Amino acid sequence: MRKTVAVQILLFILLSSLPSPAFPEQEALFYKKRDNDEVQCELCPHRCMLSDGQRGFCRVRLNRNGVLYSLVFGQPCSVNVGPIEKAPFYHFLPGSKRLCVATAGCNMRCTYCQNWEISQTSPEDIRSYDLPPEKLVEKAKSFGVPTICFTYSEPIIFYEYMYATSKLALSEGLKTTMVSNGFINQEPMKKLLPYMSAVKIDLKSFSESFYQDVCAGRLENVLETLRLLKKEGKHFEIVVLVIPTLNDSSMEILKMCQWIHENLGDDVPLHFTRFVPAYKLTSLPMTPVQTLEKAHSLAKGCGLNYVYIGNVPGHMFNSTYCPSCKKRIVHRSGYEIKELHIKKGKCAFCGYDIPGVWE
Amino acid sequence: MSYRAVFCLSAKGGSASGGLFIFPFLLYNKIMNKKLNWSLLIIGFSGMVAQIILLRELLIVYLGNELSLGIILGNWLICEAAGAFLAGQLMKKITRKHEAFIYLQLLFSAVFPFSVISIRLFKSVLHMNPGEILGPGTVFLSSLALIILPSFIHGFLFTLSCKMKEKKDEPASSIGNVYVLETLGNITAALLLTYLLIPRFHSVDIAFITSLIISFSCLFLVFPESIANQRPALFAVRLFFFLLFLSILLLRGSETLHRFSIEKQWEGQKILSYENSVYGNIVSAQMEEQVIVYSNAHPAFISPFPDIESCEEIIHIPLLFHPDPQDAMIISGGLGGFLRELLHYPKMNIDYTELDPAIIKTAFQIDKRKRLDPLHSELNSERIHYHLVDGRLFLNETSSLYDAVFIRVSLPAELQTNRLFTKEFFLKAKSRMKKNGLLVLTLPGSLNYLTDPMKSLNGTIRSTLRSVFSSVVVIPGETNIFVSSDNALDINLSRLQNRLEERNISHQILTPFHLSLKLDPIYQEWFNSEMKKVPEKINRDLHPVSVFQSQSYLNSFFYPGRKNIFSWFKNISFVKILSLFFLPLALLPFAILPQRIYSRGVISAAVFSTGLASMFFNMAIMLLFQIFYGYIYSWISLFIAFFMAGISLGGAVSTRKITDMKNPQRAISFIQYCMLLMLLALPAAAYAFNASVLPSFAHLLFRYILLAFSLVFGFLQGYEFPLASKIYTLTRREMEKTAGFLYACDLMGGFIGGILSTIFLIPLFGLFQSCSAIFALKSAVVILLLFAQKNR
Repeated sequence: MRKTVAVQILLFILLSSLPSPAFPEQEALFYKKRDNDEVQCELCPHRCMLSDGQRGFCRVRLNRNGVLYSLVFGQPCSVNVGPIEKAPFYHFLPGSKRLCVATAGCNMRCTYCQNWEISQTSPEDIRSYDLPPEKLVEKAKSFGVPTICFTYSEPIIFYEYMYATSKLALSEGLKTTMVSNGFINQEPMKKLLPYMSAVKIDLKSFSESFYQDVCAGRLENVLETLRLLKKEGKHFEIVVLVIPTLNDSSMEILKMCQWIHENLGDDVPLHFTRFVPAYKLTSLPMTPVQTLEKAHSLAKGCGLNYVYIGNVPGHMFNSTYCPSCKKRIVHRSGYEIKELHIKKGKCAFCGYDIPGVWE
Repeated sequence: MSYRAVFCLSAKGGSASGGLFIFPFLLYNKIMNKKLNWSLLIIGFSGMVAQIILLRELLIVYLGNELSLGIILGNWLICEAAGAFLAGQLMKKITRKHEAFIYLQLLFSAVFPFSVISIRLFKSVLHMNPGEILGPGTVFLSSLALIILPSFIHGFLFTLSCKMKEKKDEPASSIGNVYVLETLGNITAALLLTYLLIPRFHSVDIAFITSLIISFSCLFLVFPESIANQRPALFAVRLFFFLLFLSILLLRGSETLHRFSIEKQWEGQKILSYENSVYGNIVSAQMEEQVIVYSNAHPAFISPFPDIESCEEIIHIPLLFHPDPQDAMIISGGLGGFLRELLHYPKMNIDYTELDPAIIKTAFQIDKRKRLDPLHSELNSERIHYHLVDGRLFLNETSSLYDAVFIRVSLPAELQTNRLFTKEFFLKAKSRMKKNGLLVLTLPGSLNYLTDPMKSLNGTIRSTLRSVFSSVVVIPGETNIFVSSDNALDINLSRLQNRLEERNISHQILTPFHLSLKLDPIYQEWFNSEMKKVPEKINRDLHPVSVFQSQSYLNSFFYPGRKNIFSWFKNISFVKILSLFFLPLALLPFAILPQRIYSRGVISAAVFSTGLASMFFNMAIMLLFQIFYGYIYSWISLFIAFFMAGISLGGAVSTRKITDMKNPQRAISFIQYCMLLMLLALPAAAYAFNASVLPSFAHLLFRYILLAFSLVFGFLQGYEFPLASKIYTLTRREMEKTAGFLYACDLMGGFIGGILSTIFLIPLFGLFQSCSAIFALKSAVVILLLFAQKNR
């Protein structure tokens, strides 16, 4: 299995040794210089070893004369406004809007990617905007949104851009969030977290082979990131896209929930979302709602307090219930907040502390 | 002929109509009195059955579109051509030809069912994701491994058959005879597959039935008179195979293998039903409480809990632009949620058209087993009227008028589906609409980023709609919703929100808030700015540019490595294409070579180009028929039948005359002239018909004219092959090498013609210019032939 990923990465790096078109380049923050103008990227666990002129597995990091550059700094290809619930963030400023930002590239190769148009491509193959951090923060302010959300493709691969923007946004009174696969090394994540208001991690499965075969990633590194988020006390939510026949076994879900309970505590919001056929997995059906409900009950059985079912409009577990008084404290319908009974981070009915960012 | 399977598949199934075959059969009564000829006919029959069945199975596994079909067919034809060619080279070394003939057939009979099972199991065996579309490299290698044996053996058998039929005085006539017999076998296969085998049996059964027929032929038809003299081992092997296949069928071993293999193929799901129709494969499966119906391995609908967001958005948002919708029509894709949404309107009457009856049949089977909404309410509503017919044909013939017409075909990716996205169709739909009527269709979209293929496709359909309707609104999303009307459509959010509330329909997601998100001016502005520089092309019946754009879109994520090919085609001018088709003229300088060498090259070019032109011609005829009359399966079958009957007739006449023919070169040139004439006649007839310059009775006649065209072109192709063999053997006496090589040329021409016509040529340049390109190709061959004659 590990070999498959290694071969994929190697092939990609070999094939990417072609001359790159000119891009505004920003030196990468995490890499090591090696002999003969080689560099090793230290941003994500792939740790790509790159000769002069080669790009990383993510397609957006280039070694030029022994210096590693990010090719997408200030060059987002997607910028738009949407509801925060769409991320989904259910414990973060409910009902608010976010400015979504993404660049080309990704450090995984998920065969069901919903944003394949940008994640599975190189920056030179798509149109991008010239939006350095200052302009992006200005744009967010002009839209009147409280949050900039780095999302769609994989924010880790445009780390330098995200880092600089987050730092600036925080100083301008904005919040920042990232929607990520969590496949990042510890050091860069630690450096970023002080400037990040909340993080959403896609836990793609609880099987190492799934990560390697379907996503070209590794589970253990993602779990390390989750542990780090817990340790640093940052608000984070976990999303599990339940894909029929691939990661939907009760045993796997049970193990995952037990791990979350033991390592991250009971209060981390966990979303089981329904798979919709996409990209290369168009012939698998949507997830049966019963499978999601089973997953929900397994998670609740493990003692997790905030478990959601997503992508099933109108489902009762799309809403938030107080673990103490069991009353519905956030009533959601699609992306709409119909009722909100949380005041200053507490249940409006019984005063129980509800984890999250509410103001 | 293998590429005829391409033709049958492109027409979505097998072929043929009964009485047609009596004539060629009678004509060949003399030939049929020999048992060997029956055996050759069975080889043609089994080859065609294997091709169609294996290709259908592979398309299910590869979740295929036209692009993967191209790779699979390419592999099949290359292997078959290699078999035929290699047989020619090895023939002298095969001392016991009769035994080889039997053993190869028996090997084919064993390999065919094995291949069907292997296709179904290989993903599971190799631990591949069941629902994942594989990359081109994997499709190429795996399909090659899965079909190499049957295709190679079948190609080998063609050349070996020619050798078995060889007459010392006239080697070319034996090739002609085998060619004709094989074609008759093909027709029989297409006929039986269409009307008997596919509707009644699954692929494993069909494979074993075919194997039984082959083993029967080996036991009783091939040289039975020499049974007494032959080695006991050979007889025992023949008997063993016959009894093996017979017992597998009688003891329902094939059923067990079928159940086992489909359960592996759809691992993790409980198979409820498995139907094969001429249009494809329909499977219903269960996961938890959810029932999924797959059409050619793609989920067609699920129940309960469909994709509620899509159902509500695609049905209700467009209807907000209408003050009081009461009559609607949905073309395909309505079951499992969309129809139920329409039923929320108390006065709504719905006409629903679905081409494949197997989908509706399966839906009723599911409903009988368990009541699952929304399916149950859709199948049992008196306000929904089901029409098992082509949507375009229905719209042509109905006198009803509609407030809304929904096209639920997701992509104009084939010539057939593209007919629902053309200017001509939109005009027809408009004529069936009431005042304030709406036409609603969807295309792939994205709120994050629109790729170039997405932009081209969306841009073309938008400008095509604008050329017909005075108002077109696009609601961007993961699926872009196009709403068109002659009434002014205005995105007035508060008015639409009021209407939504007034209608008081219970929605899961579509609230005034959700509507405000969907119709946010930011998205509208973004979409319009993204589409600003997209060229405004019009998708026409006879110039179906959106087929190319859809294929380019599919290619962008299935096979991104091939994007350069699409870019190249997209940007190439017609003049360049035309010059490409004159490429055979590159052989002209070789006219200075010895005549026999030059002549061989020219004859190969003639056979290759005829294979290509013939495939193009047939595709063009089918396109024309479908445009003017709709997709009527029996007629499509009739075209294939006429074409094949033409081939066998032409081959028969040619084979008869060939022995006494003094100047075959002149005859083959004459055939080329006739083909050129046909290539002029077809667009002329299409133009006259399309422009309505003919009296109305001519419209009724047009379909018969098209049938005649099919027959004549088939005749010309059939006539050419024995002639070409004759000329080739004049310069190279080895009949078997001639047969193998020319057969390979014919196959490759057909294959390239199929891919080129349906994906690139007709979509990019339209019917008329495409005809000119093929005309150029054939003209080049005529020039080469003229030089060949001059040098004699």
